[in-house]
Amino acid sequence: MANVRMSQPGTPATTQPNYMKVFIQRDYSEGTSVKFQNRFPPELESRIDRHTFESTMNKLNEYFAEAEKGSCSTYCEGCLACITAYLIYICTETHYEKCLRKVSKYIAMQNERVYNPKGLQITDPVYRGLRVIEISILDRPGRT
Amino acid sequence: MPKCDVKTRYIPATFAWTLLLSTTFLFFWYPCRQFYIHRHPWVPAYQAVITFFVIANFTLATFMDPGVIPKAPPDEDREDEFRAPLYKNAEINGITVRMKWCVTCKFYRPPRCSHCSVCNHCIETFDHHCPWVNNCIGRRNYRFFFFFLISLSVHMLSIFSLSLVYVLQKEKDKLTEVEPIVAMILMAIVTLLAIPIFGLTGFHMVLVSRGRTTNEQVTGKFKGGYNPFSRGCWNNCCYTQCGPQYPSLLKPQKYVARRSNKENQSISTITNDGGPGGGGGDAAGSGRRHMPTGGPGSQQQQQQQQQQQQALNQGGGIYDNNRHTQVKTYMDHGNGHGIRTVGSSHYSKLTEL
Repeated sequence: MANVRMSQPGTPATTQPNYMKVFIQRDYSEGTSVKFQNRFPPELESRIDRHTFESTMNKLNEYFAEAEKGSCSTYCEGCLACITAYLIYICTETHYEKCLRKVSKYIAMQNERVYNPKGLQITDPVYRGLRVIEISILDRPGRT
Repeated sequence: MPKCDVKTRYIPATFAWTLLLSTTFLFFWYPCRQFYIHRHPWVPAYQAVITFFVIANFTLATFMDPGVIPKAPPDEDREDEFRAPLYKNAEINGITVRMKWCVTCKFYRPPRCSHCSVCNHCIETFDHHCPWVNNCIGRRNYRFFFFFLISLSVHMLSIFSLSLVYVLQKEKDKLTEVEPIVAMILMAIVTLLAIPIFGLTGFHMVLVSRGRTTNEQVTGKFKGGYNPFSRGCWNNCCYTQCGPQYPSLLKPQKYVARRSNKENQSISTITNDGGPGGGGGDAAGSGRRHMPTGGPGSQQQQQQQQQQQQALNQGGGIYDNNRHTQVKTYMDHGNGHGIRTVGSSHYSKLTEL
């Protein structure tokens, strides 16, 4: 029962402890392509070192840059979709969606190996409409 | 929303579909069937291909998610909305662009994003709300709308010219029969619609080459200035038509990486006895302590720890209601106004989209 509820965001759950959150905003300096700022937030200073954080952010930005790039494969994908009356979108994933899966996998791995042991949790930005990356500080109670 | 509003929304789209399907059908039924299919069979085939593209693009422009940005959930930065500045600046390729706070969606609108009052959502790279497709045109479906306009223009031109050829080759005394009259009616309809459709197609061709949206063109955002979103004419055209298809953000669960049960068990957390310095986090640590090594066969009292473990395992944004959260937004100096701190709030339900 608990597992089912957990997998559906928005459904009522039992009381949870407070979490403090840090939001990493988008970096729009190069246009509307998805890219996140990699400046180190001061709230995380005591928990994680700058280099680790920056390498995580850079890797995520790399994945998104790869997703946003227009290349031969995206062109072929578009042409094929057009020819098949776009029915191909029902059967296969687009290039961008595959990249989002990679991002999700990378974040899960980083959480497991690096961030959770330090009491942090990165939330996949896809849950925030690709607007922010949310980092929850798990053992820090929020203000009531 | 009053009932009559909902109904009037569908009228232009219904009219457009009816007109398209009926004129196409009439063309195939009368001139094609009587004349072309015997003399020039390539004509119906060619016309069928064009019709196929018109309908496919029209369908997608109508039914595809235009690039809706889901509303911010309650545990994001919201407390300061009454004191927050209305605009936030961002520098893009040397030009300062203003981002406006969206009162409905509760976030600063990304550049090129606009809120559509008809659809009641912020749309990524908002072009316009098209009443003929009863949908917004945004980042995800702009190319389908553009291809629809082009294919419709070709479709109209070919119907007009083929109907004209048919009428001209008919003997003068047979011009009062049904088929030539239908052909002439089709020509008249196409002539009437030619100016708006071709005009719109030409307008969008210019927009695509300049890398602008209808919204930006009409509001004169980059009038006489440099457009920071333009990548050059050729690249603009390529990116609009051949760029990657942006994903829909309405159901983010489908992009979560699938993890096996085995991986769920392999978290190595440093378990202390739930003390404040317990590196793995209290939630995971205490969960580990009590949970059996099997699958998630939870006992009643382990539910809470297990929920937390599950949240950590999946690494996704699983939000629980009734959770007190304190939120703090980190912003860069050049792109914001410094850190805003927010008190915690008790939220009852997340907005489900």
